[in-house]
Amino acid sequence: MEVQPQAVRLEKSLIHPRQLLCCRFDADGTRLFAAGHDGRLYRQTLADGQLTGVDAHRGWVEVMLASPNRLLLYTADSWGQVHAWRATDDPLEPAWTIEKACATGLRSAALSRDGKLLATCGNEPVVRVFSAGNGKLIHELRGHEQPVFSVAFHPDGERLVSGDLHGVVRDWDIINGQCARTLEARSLFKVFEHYRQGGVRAMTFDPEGKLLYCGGFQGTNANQAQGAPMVIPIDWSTGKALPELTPATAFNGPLSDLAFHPAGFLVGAGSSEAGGMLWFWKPGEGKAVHSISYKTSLRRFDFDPSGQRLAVTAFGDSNGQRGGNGRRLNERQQYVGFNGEAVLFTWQPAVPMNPSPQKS
Amino acid sequence: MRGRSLTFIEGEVNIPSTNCAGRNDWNRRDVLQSLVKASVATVACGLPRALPAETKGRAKRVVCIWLDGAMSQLESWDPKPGTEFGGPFQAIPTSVPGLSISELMPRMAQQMHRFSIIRSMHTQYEDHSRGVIPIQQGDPKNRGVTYPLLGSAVVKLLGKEDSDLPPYIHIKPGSGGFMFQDAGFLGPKYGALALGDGKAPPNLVVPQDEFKARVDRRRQMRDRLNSRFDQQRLTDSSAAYNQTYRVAEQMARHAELFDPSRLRPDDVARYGGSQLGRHLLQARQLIEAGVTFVKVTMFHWDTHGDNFNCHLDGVSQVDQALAALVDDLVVRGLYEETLVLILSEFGRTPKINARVGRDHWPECWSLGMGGGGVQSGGVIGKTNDLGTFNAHEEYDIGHVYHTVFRALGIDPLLEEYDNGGQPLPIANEKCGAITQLLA
Amino acid sequence: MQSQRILTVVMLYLLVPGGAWGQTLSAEIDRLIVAQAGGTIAGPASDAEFLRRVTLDLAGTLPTPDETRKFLSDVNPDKRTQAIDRLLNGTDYPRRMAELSSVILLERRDGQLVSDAGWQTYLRESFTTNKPWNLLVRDLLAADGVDEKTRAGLRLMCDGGRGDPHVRTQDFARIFLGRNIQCAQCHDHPTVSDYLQQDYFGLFALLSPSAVHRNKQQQPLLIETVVREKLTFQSVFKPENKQSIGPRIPGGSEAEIPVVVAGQEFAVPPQDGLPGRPKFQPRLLWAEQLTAPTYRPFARTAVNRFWFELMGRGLVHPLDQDHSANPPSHPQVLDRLTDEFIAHNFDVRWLLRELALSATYQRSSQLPDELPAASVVPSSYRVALPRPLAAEQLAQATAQALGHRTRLNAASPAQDSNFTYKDYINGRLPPPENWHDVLVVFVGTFAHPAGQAEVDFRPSVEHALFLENDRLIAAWLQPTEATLTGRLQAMTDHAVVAEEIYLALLARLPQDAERAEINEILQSQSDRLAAIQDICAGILSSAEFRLNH
Repeated sequence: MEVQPQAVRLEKSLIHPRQLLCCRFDADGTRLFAAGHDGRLYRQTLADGQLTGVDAHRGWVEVMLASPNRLLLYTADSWGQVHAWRATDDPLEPAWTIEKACATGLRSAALSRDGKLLATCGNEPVVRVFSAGNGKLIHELRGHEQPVFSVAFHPDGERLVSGDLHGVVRDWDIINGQCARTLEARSLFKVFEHYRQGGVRAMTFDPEGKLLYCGGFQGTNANQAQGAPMVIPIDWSTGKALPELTPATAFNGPLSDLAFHPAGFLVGAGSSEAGGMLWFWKPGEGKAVHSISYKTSLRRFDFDPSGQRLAVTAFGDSNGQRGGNGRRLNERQQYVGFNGEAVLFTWQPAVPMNPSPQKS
Repeated sequence: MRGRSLTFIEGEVNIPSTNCAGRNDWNRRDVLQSLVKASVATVACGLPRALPAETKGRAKRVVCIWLDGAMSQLESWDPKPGTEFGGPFQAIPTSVPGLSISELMPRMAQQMHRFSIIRSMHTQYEDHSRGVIPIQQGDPKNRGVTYPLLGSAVVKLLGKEDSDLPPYIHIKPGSGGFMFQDAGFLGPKYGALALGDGKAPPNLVVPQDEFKARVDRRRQMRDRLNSRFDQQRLTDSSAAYNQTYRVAEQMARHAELFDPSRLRPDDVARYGGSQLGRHLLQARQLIEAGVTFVKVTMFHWDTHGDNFNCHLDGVSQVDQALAALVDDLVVRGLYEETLVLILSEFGRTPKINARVGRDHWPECWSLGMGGGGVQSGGVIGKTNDLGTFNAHEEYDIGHVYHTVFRALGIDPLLEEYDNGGQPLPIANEKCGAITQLLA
Repeated sequence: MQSQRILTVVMLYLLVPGGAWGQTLSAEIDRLIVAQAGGTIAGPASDAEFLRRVTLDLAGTLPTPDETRKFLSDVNPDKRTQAIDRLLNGTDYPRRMAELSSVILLERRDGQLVSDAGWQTYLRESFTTNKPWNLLVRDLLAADGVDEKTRAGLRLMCDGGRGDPHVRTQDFARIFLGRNIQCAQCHDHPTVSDYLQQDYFGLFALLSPSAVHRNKQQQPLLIETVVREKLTFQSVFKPENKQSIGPRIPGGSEAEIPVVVAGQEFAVPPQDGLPGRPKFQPRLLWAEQLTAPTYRPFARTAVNRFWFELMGRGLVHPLDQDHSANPPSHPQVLDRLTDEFIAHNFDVRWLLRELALSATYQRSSQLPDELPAASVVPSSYRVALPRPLAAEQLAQATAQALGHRTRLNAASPAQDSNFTYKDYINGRLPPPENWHDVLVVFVGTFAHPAGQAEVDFRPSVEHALFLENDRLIAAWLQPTEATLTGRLQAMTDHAVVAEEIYLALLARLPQDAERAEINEILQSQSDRLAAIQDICAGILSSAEFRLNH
């Protein structure tokens, strides 16, 4: 079935006890794995919403990845611990663990297209490459001078890119572990007096590996992460930045994830004070061809194996709580944090509310 | 006037059971919080301890670091890693056994045997516009007068207003000027000389020798006119104006202290190379030269969005600059005489909002203090396991004022201001010093 | 207590000629002020003190030595009234009032829409013809830029940050209504019960549809958007409680928003890439309602501001805190003046004349010897309050005193001056040689930052260093035929030098001790010019020079 960005619609939201950061569909697209602030790995049946979870991490689970066949799952937390999981195990338990993939503040990770290599990055100027089969360290890539915000493997399996706070992107040769060249997405970085705002917050290649997309935002103040989201495409052969991709309508907050849909369009997620947004860009068009908003901030997303569904993690706004300054207790005088949501969007046509009986 | 006793204060408050506002509701909170499942707690701080004191004696000078907009206690002095509101960062052990602070402060972690923390601040204001000034005034009881900010108060109470150098200097980003308003009812003599980005204002000229006599003649002319003018006049305006000339003269005599381009690059690098680092390095030089009170302001801590990236950047700058300052003061033998204070107008909410930010939280927050007159390696107060409220005793800014004054050898129970015949307490009389923190 | 009351009554008789109450408005003001004085009041200002004060206030500069000499020797008992009338009808008055009203209306906000010259000219012409204050403000607010003659009005409405309708709302509430309602943007004011969020949004609804567009010739035009419905707002404290309000001036009634029929909403349809001009323009309602004689807050706020400018303290003080919990110090005075200002068709020249004629204005800034200064509260007006000179007054006074005013005023400013304060203070430009650029330097040094009401004295080390060391001042102290130091150098008699210095810089004669002081300096110094320059520079940096007292 042809998938057009404009046909996407909200399907439903699955409520989680705590704020979520990342998710992945399972192999047949019937269950969703999700994790976030509470360090638990949740598995949820989409049809009935049935939710199970295991204690998995101590820090925030920042990133979740799935092997090409989606039978292996990887989770990595902000304290630097990485777990590999067999997605079909019940109960879930780690197959193996990297105790310290990152010395401090792990932010992101990526898996090579063949599923053999795993790269991690965080609040240190180092990128590490591990065997995705057993967690063995293969390379420590040094050369950045700033915290590294995101990593992505080139589809050819021979190159890895990493983007840092200052918008510097390094292109690494994975065979020899050397930095092949340095690319630039510096307009994703701003300085306000002493505060440094921005960073390459998400990266992805197009399926052919001809363009690298670096996402972030153009900060407008020192301490609120406000400013318009922006994606800078870089021509992989020349290393030159091309005209940027932007939302078609005003939005005030950073881009949080970026990935190509199998049908060939680029999707981004973002968060702002006013809520979240998904943007859809078609190659060659600078303005998003479509966008769909959601009431709360959106974080990272995944497409199901059929490409018919998109699941995105969200910071919930329920629990009867409001944010804001000062002491805000609920009606039972409790101080309760926000919940999380896994929000499903779909390209499948809506089922009519009252289908008229068909006579054959 | 110094030395007159206050008759309406009965005794000293050691461990206050209530805060300045008279609230005493932590018991109820504890019960509430026990209903919430507590996660792993790695911080073992417990009761304050008196470690072998590296710093003894009375402070004579103050460096006050003001983190405007409010630094998060959870990303600095009071981390709750792995708990509901703990955020993504870890805690790290420090040079004080059993004490952990945020991983964003690795250098201060190595200095904690020289520093102390109050983790159970509890103050009354939850917005900047109402909080910033009262907190820096020690939140005195409203008596219809404008109280001085801490710097002006210290200069007055230590009797340093006639120093050779401006006794109260404020280094801040942006523009400078003469902030006589800081002094409140004490009058402009006690105002702050603000150095915009550490720089002297334009037109600061060091007179060459052959011109010195002419400068003196001009000053003499001015001074005589001014004293005649002030006779039988309301002098609020002229006093503030004339004070600016006195400060200008002092600056000209010590022009090298007001020239940040003369800071040594290796020193700047040791302080982290940041704007705060340069300002704290300059503060150290001013303290060395004999300035009584240096306030250093760092703006933009109001992290309602992207709190963790902002704190990664900001706290790291604080960590490197503060640790270098403590080190330098120790090496120069000045730490025992210099009180170092670092604080904001409140803390930040445990709850993480939808923009990954933290909002304003006066309920429980932390501040740091070290150097002359105070204990080293101490931890005062404790928040509950989730970091949402104070677990036991809590302190208002009035307690901190009492403590700072005591560390400076000023007894708030014995000394008071004389505002044209009106006696005024120098610190909120409902609070007392945190005696466990005093050396 | 008893003796004090008797003293007050005695003074009342002294102050009011013939003991007749209410003969003139100024006399009535004095009666009300004295009745509430609560203690001894200062005597009248000396002639020199009065002339300096009134010249600074009404002409924005210092009297020349000749003017002072002439005034001091004048024996006419009406000479003060004559001086006031001479100044109010003088050529400096419109310039001074243009500078003052610009500071009041723009609060140092600069802008790109209307040139400085265009704005100042508009104001100067208005004060030359003594345009009523309400009509001046009304026309500025109603201007849409189509008519070149009133284009200056765009500066008030939209320039220098006021393109943001919240800034516009908050500024105008302070400037025209004496109310600081900034807090009420997000919720009812936490401490002032009169300042409500619905007032904020009623005002916002009047002011927010206005925006600037440029036509093909790049001329700015103010065009309002079509208003179709009321504004909705909610308190951040009660976000669930949504409220709505249409255009409404505080204390007035809400304007009915006309039903918009598609195709009939415009008086001037969209054309040439510009949006249409709607039939319903809330800005015009605001301009009319605000300045109508029946709308008292406008007149009251204006009276309070002009009183503040001449007396050094508002009857309502702070000026932007007019609310029931902060009543005026002298309610009857404010009421009487407001009534009369309205009755006199918002005649600013008349108002300033009445104020300047009052004994309250003409009081000395020196207290009687027996009275400790600390016992006098400023709001009693028992003594004249020293006030800082505004940047423009200081520029005029300095240039006048040092003998550069005539020359600089004669020099025509460059049409498109690239002279900036930043370039000058960083040494990239030589000292200014025309009045426009001189003002750039003085305003850059002494004015408050843009958007802050200039109603308090903020002395700074920067100010002191400027008057002591700046290149401009050093240049002005150089002797030429026309300059003060040049004139002094040519004088041989030390007593004459002393008199000229004091008259030029402080607009008074030196006291004996001061004559002796100057004599001593001049006698002891071999470098006479250096001695003269040092004396002048010393006086220039004194509080007596810096303040209007």
